[in-house]
Amino acid sequence: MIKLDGNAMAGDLREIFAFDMTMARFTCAGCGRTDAVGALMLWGQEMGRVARCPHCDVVVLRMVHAPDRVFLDMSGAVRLEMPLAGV
Amino acid sequence: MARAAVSGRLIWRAATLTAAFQETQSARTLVLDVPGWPGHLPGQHVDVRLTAPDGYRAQRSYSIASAWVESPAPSSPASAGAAPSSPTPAGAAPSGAAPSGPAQSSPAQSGPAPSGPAVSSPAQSGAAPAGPASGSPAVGGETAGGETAENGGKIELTIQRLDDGEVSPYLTDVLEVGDQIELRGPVGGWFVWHAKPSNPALLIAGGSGVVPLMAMVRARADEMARQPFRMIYSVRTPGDVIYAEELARRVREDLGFDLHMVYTRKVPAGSPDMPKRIDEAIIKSHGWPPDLMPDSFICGPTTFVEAVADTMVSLGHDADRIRTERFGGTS
Repeated sequence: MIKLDGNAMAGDLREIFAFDMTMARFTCAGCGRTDAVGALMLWGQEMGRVARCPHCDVVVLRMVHAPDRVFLDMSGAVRLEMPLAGV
Repeated sequence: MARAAVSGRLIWRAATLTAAFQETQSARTLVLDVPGWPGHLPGQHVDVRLTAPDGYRAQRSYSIASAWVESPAPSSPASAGAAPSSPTPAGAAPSGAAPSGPAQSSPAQSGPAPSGPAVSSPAQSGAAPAGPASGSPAVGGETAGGETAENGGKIELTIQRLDDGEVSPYLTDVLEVGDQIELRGPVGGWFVWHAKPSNPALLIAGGSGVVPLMAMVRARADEMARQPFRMIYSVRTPGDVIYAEELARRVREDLGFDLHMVYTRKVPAGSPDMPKRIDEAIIKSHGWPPDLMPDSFICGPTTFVEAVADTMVSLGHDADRIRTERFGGTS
């Protein structure tokens, strides 16, 4: 049972990216649909998270925190789209 | 007012609990003093981090409950100055008198002043030679206060205790005024309200999902935005209503803000209604028709969010105008 969504990753993503990634739109490698990163369905805790497409459940993004580094796997997103000026 | 959302590096800040209010049996509002706080948009979050003596850390994301009012240019002196979220603590403020508490007069200035912010006047005078401000934000704008008044500030989080949670019980039951926690933010820009003149907004809350929506309601009032707001707020029982008093007051005072309560297990005494869940009929009667193209924000537990969002889409609402957030309060 998931309790959270991509919004809850905002801090961890903001640690890596200069841009607020929850506003970025991903295109899912599984179903081809596009949605906001904030709408991903989130599993796991801060040490390791899996974010799935809300439309087809494919894993879009994985993030793992090791003591001194972070691993981000975005193989489930074939594209990211983000506005250049904050809306 | 695209501000703050994209700022500098995200850093962990020490936040000091300056006041706390019990909202319901299991929900508590924390008023935190966060020196250097850059401001935030309604709907944004913070990450809270707790560190145990043995170094074990737990981190959670919480929605900010308060609105942030930008400091007006130093030209207009006193009053509203630094005060964030003006009348916020209305909820369960002990003395009832809303405005007393948040009179932010003392915000950052003497920084560490621990117990300080209790009520506007007392502390300071005795405290620091630094503060010729005499407790009024007015002077702060000119002297050293200028910067701090703008950048320092208080934010409020409302935490719902989850009994098997790792972090929330500490925040609701253990953390005391004067204690510090680590916090970073604001983060998140997707589940955020921006005032729009053209179309109305619909806010649908399940349980503690009301927290970020309350920030929007507060921001709307603070900004004197005209955008019509309707809120549908679903709770189990009357005792579970967070911000009950403030919501009732805002329905009376905030023009263009309407609220419809839905009780799923027990209705208030004397109510003719039966317990029920948000359904098509409720959204039709208490939401907006799709052709008004409302901006919709739905926040609550996953099943709630999905059921409500599906219902709205089936009523003809554009899925792209519906923003969702699953469960503001986490464990």
